[in-house]
Amino acid sequence: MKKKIIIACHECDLLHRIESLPEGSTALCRRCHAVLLSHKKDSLNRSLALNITALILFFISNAYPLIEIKTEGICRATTLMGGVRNLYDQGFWEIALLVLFTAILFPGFEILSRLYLLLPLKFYKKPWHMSLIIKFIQKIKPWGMMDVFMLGILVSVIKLVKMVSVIPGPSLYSFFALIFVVTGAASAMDFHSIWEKA
Amino acid sequence: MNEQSITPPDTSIPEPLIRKKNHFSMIWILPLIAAVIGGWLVYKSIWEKGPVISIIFDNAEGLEAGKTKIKYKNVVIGQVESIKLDADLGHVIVMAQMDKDTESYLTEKTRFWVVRARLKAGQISGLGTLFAGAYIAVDPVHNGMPSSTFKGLDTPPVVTMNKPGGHFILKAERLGSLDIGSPVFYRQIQVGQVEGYLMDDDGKHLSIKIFIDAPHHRYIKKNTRFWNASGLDVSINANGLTIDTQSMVSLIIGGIAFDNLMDSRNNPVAENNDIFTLFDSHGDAMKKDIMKKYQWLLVFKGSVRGLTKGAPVEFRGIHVGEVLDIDTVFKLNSGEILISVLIETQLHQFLPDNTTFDDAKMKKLFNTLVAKGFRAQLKPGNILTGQLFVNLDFHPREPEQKIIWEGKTPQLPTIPATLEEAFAVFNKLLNRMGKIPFEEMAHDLRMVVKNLNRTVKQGDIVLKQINRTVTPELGLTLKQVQTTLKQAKKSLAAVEHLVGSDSALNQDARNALNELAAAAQSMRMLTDYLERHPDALIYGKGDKK
Repeated sequence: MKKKIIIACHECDLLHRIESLPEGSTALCRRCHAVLLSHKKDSLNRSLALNITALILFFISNAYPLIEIKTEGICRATTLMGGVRNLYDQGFWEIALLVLFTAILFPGFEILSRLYLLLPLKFYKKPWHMSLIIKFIQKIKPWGMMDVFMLGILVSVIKLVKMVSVIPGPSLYSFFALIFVVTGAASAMDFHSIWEKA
Repeated sequence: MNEQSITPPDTSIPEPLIRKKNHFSMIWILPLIAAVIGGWLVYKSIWEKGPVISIIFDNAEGLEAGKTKIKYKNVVIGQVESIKLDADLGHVIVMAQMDKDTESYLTEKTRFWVVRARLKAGQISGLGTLFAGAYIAVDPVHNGMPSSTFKGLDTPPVVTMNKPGGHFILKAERLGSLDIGSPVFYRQIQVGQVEGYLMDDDGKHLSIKIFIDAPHHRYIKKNTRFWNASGLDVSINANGLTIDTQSMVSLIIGGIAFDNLMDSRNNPVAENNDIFTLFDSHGDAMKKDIMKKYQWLLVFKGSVRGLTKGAPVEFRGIHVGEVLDIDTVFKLNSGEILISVLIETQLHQFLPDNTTFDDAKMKKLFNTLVAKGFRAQLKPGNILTGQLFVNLDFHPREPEQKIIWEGKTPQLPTIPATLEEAFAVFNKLLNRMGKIPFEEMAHDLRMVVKNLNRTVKQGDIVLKQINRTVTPELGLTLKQVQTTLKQAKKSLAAVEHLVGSDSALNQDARNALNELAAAAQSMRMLTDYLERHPDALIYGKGDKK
């Protein structure tokens, strides 16, 4: 970090001159102690690894049955997409769309966009339309609601257990892991350093 | 670089080698783990997927793509993926994803059928499918050519391939009320089922396939007899009314029963797919075994009313054969119409088991038998129904006859039926009665009556004489007796007067007794008083104090 940059505090607009920030340290505003910058340790590797993990888990989550319900010989297994389709077939198309976007499409796009940024950087290249992608990621991030969806599933499974036997599929576990990995990937992402590297 | 600026530049001091840090971050383990798990799952799903098979059914009732399972012994081994119609709309093609390692038993002999709730052959099956939906069951067969296209069965097979037991084939002329799944009984226990039946190529016989469960299949010997135990077996024949049934189940849905002959214990056990005859009834089945039947022609002059095809041929009550056919024969030279009866006998069953005899020996044997009076005769078997049977027996007093060996079947000499015989005897009796000299007898009778008349007249005279001589004396005697009786009466009246209830003697006697009683009473009073007052003897009664 040899470059001298001038950065304004997000909270109080006080200008700071940052000469260099060692790895793993955070720059705070002199006046209001708001976080100006944090130079995350090994940001590129970490976020790349976590995003690749997230991608794999994302595929598992969508390819395998989420839960299997069994009662009196009737056996039903469903995948994430299958659930969306069932909702649509039963006429709840609004909810189906909501689930489709918040639990599948947005998280998927987010992971893919991050990889789009990170992979070229790892090999010292600048990805195209970098600023556009970064903006896109910032836009869709609030809409990824896998954790909310997961909570919904957990609640309904616990309620169903009394009536039917519920067998969790591989997708359920990978979905659970995916929530943590995505959160970790998001926090490991250091847009500042990306910006700098590019 | 900072140090460079501090220390003065000195070219003599070399720069250090800079080894780039091997930048492997621990964070890369995470995607590695995910990749391993993902890879394992992918491997599992690809490699644990068995073959995709297609099963052709007539209809897809109860089947659902993505839901219907393929089960063997209630273990899921596959799932229906798609159901579609074939090109000419005649059948339904069910594509199913089988599990891994199912290839080994998906051979050309493997059978598939849909399990639904069924009511058949007296039993209900597949009730569970009412709730859980139908499923496809499989009967795996290991040995055979591997296959991936199968023809689904319409009905569940009665017997699965690997069930222990034995398959046998029964030849029958008619099916009766048998059906697939009809029970097979041994000593009235159900030991097997009818697997199926088909018409033989000649169109004259049926082949009925049966399956006997282990361990009962070893009771089936080479000469085991099977018979149709369908429904109620009611037969009226010379033996009377026979009603036979195996069980209430067979009464309703039919069935087959089998049993062994008494002497078959040492018989070899039957092998798989051995062929047997299915008899119509227990009686037919258990008739003594015959290696060869001999046919005889019997010619009767009299009526054969009451003789039917299948009527028994007996030798002194032992069943030895039956009537095959009844026909008429017109004799040109004598102008007679005779009745010929074709019978089938197993007479040689009376011979020891190991006797082997050729036709010449047989001829000789029967010739000697007939010479000794061996004859066939019609006899009423059942008085109520008038059924006849053919009885074979020795009649040594009959006129000598011989077997006519010429012709297609040898002709055994006969004697008339017992009824005809009776008529003949009656006729003879009548003839003999005709010879009785009735006129002479009447004349004699008249003479006798005349004599009798004379005798009666003489008796009359005798009676008159008796009247004349005996009667006056008898009257005198009677008079004397009368006077005697009168005197006796008088004497009795005198006695009565003497001892009567109002006679004087009687009165006096009563008074005397009364007096005696009064005396006894006063005596008792005296003794009482003396007991209480003994001094009265000395002082007298004295005054009262």
